[in-house]
Amino acid sequence: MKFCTVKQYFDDENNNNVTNGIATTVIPLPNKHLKIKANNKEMEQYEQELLRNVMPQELTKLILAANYLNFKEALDFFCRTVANAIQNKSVDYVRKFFGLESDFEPGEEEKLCKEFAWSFEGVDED
Amino acid sequence: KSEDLFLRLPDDIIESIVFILPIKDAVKTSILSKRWRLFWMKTPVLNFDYNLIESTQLKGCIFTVQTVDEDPFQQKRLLFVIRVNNLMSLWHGSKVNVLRVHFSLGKEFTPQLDQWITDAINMGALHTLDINLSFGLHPYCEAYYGNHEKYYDFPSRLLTKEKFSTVRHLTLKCCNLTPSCSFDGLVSLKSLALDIVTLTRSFLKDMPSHGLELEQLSLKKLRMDRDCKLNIDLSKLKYLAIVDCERLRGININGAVELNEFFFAGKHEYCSFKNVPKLVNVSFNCNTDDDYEGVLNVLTKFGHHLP
Repeated sequence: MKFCTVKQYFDDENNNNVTNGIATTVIPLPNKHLKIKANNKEMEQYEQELLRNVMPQELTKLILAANYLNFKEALDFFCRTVANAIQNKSVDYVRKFFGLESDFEPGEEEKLCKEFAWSFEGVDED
Repeated sequence: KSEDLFLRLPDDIIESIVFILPIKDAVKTSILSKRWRLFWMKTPVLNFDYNLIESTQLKGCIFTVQTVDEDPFQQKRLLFVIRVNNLMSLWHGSKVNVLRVHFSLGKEFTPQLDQWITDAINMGALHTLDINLSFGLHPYCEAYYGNHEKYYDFPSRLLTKEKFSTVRHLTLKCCNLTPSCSFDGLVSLKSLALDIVTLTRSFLKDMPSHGLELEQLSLKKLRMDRDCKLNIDLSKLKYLAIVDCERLRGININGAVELNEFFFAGKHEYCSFKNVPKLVNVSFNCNTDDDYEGVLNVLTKFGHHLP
C-alpha cells in the first residue's frame, strides 16, 4: 500500500529524485520500522548510527526520497534526526550542516543577532 | 552541488524540522538565511520553560520595572515574561496546538498569563494546555504550597464548552480554579492533571459521572473549601491517581470498566471499588502504620471486587 509510488518510480526512468543507493536504504525501512517501532531505545541507537554514518547530504536525500514515496513515518523519523543533530549548536555549525550561506545584508544579520542574542547563549562547542 | 540538495527541500519539510526544535533553537534558525527567517514564527507548538533564560547572566540586564522585593528570582521571572511576550508578538502562525508554560510565575503575572492562554485558545486549534507554575523555586515551590493566595487564578471565562472544546489534555499546577470555574468546559478532555490546585467542592461535583472521554485523571494535593465525595464512574478511564487530597473523604470507583492503573496516597479507608474488571496495577502509598492498616482494610473489604 505504501509502495504504489515505488513501482511508479521504477517505471519512470527519468526520475531524478531518488537514486538507486537511496532506494536501497529507504525501502527496507518499513520492515525495520515495524520491528523497532515499539522499542524506543533501539530507535535512538538506530538514530545515532544513522547520524554517524550518514552525511547531511545523504540525510537530505533520504528525506526527499521518503517525501516522494509518501512514507510519513520515515519522513518524521528523518526530520527528527535532523532536528536532534542541530539542536543547541552554533549558527555556523548549522549553516555548514545544511550547506547554507548567509544572504543577508551585513546590517540585517547583525540586527537579527542582536534581537535574538539570548538564543545564541550556551550552545555546544562545534 | 550539496547546496543544491538542501535548496530542493520544500518549505513544508523545513518547517517540520523547525517545528520540532525547542523554541530557543527554532528562533536561531531565523538567522541562517533569508529563506529561513520566518519559519519559526509559524510553529504550532509553543513550549516556554526555563531554557529561555537559563544561559543568561543577569548582570547587565536592565529592567525598567523596579523590583519591589530583592528576590533575584523575581528578575528571572521578569526576564522570562519579557522574552515570552517578545516571541508571542513576533509569532504569526495560523494555529497553536500546544501551549506549555513551565516557570514559577505567580498572581502578579496574571495579565500576561491570561493573554498567552487566551490568544492560544482563540485560534481554535489548541489540543494541549500545560500550565505548570511550580517550577522548583521559592516561594512558590511545593514546600510552600500553602501560599495559594499568591497563585495564578486560572480564568474561568475560558473554561466554557465553546472556548475549550478543542482541548484534549489539560495540566495545571500551582493555580487556583476559583471562583466560578465549572467543569462544563472540560467535558471534551482525554487527560486531566491537577496538582496543587485550589478548587471548590462544586467543581468536582459538577464532574459528570459518566459519558466523559476522560482516559487519564490525576488529582494531587488539591485544596478544597469543603469535604467532598468523589464518584468515579468514567467508562473510558484507564489511569487514576489520587495523591494527598485531604478533603476527598470518599472515593467510589464504580463502573470504571477500562480502569487499568490506580495510584493512591492518603487516607485509605476512603476508597471503595466496584466493577473494575481491568484493574491490574494498584499502588497504595503507605507512610505510617495506620496507613498500612488502612490499606489492609480496604483490600479485605473490597478484595473480592478487585480482579
